[in-house]
Amino acid sequence: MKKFNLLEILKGQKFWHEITRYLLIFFVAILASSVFILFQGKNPIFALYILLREALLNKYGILRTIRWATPEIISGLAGAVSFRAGVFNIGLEGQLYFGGLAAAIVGYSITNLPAYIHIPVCLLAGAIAGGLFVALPAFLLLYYGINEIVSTLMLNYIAIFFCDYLVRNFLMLASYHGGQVPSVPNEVATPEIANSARLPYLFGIPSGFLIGLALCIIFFLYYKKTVRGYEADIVGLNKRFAAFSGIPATKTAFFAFIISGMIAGLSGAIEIIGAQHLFRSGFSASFGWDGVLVATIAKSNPIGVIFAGFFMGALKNGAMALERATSISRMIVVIIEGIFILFVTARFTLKYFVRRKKKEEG
Amino acid sequence: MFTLLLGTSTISAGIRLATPILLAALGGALTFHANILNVAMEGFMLISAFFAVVGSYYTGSPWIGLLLAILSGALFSLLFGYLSINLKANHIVVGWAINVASWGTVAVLLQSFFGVRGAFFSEKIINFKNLEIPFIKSIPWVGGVISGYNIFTYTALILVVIFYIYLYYTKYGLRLRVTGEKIEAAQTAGVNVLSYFYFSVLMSGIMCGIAGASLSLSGLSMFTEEMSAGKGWIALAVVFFASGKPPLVLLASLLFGYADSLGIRLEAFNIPSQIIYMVPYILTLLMLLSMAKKQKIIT
Repeated sequence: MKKFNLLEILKGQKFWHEITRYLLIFFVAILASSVFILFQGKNPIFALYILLREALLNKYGILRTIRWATPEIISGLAGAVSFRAGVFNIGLEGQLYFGGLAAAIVGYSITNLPAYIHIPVCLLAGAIAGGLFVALPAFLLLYYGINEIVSTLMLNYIAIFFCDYLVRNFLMLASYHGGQVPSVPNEVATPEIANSARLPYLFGIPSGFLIGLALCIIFFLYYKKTVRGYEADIVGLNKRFAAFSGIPATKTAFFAFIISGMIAGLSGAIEIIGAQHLFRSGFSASFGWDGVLVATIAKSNPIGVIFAGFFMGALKNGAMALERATSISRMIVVIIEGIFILFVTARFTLKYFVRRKKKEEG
Repeated sequence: MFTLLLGTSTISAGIRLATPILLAALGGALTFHANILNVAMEGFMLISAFFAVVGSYYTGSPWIGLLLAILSGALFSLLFGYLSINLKANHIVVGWAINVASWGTVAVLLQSFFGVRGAFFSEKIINFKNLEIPFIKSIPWVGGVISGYNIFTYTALILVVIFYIYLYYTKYGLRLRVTGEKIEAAQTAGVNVLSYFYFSVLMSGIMCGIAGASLSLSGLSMFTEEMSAGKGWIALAVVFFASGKPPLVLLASLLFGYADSLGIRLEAFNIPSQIIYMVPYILTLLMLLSMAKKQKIIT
């Protein structure tokens, strides 16, 4: 029990304060974006109504929001897992690409498996591809102390170009030889995956979303209830302290890095077999980059990731509807996202000031 | 093959493409030495590219555009500095937020100012002219490679020298490097650490401002939302490749620019250009690896 108290002192947060703070930030973000909408000579209340109606207030809207929220939540979780262990894995986008490509290849090249085997195989392929790809920066960090931010950033670009290269030169051709003609000719994409590889709907909800929720809950329990999870948090807060306390600090961080890459790969796989059904070059609508934002907004809390990811999904979906219905740019929601992150970070600083003031007073 | 690899057009296009990277990376070199990981360069560049167009469009003078670009870059860098230095927020997160916010802001402002989405073309955006160097321009090959760029390229080359002298041959440069390397030592020696942090961040904003203006005022008469197209991130890669040394920054920028130009050229021949685009990133990783020391693993 004592261990958990220590964590609470280190983090110093109360649930209801958090909720109020997020609502306040939301209010500020809405206000700021309203100013921008007014600046364009449009009615912000109407815009907000459209955004809300299309994202949350009707059945198809919610389904679309869930569709966009799924990759955001899972890649957000990937970010959260690495951030908690003090590793800044911003290569989620690249890992997501490899995961998606691996899932697509397994999805279309095997055709004679039943769905209950084929789907797990695809998901596994995605996770393994992401994990293998992240192993490189993880080794560089572990053995050579190479800044993971820079290496994962480089690898993002390498991954995107490399996947494009593979699809253009090998997999796209396979589609012509394999008999299945792509739905859009000359599109840089793999063949469509087999029907047995497609994620089904469960109770009218896409099962990819349910997998995402389950993963978030599992990781929440992992950090709350297991020693390993607790150790990862300590390593994230202070690596040296962790090492002196007898926690295998480097190993823990390395492990979190790999797991993070695997979740990012899984996120790509779910996007492919759950929504797009083939791997297009440049298929990701910046899900990996958004994952970093989601994890930041959620302050790396797995349950928070669900809400932040859902929020981002709703924004993404609502923004597209907004652009269709009015002439307001969908980029307005990007401003909302930016303000959110700025304020969530500024939060830390408020606390810093309060603490400093207290110190000065006595 | 020769004309493809070393032809005037490939090389001069490479140098043109390298210019904004070089400008931004020089500013990034200062933050690198101050030990601030500046991931906000992408955002600085985009916002200043936009304001460069605004200035040039409304006044008809590219110089006003450049001025506005520098001011907006500086303003955003001060925001970055305030949040990350004074308020001690995480550099990466703040930088990230600034990138996202400036992306959205530019897109929305583009619509409010010019009433268009995505891209804006206009004859009224006045560009900087290309400068021909007399005599040299008439030498075959050399003339095509050395002459005919606009002011940004030549300024960038001069700034490489200035930044090098500043960093390695003045006491201020020494103090900046010490501040980044061992802040306690700098403080003990009586260096005003805060002012050096701010100076490096502000310079980075200004240099990104110039880089942004060079993106939008170099002859296209247009602005697009994706104008910066990851150049700020490439600049960060360049800074790490060069570990903040201006001559190496120049070399690395040219490498990225050359790969970009060669890739575009090869695309016309149906040769996979993705591999060429990958090369600079791989080289950056190898460069980091070559400088790294094997670590003792704490388990």
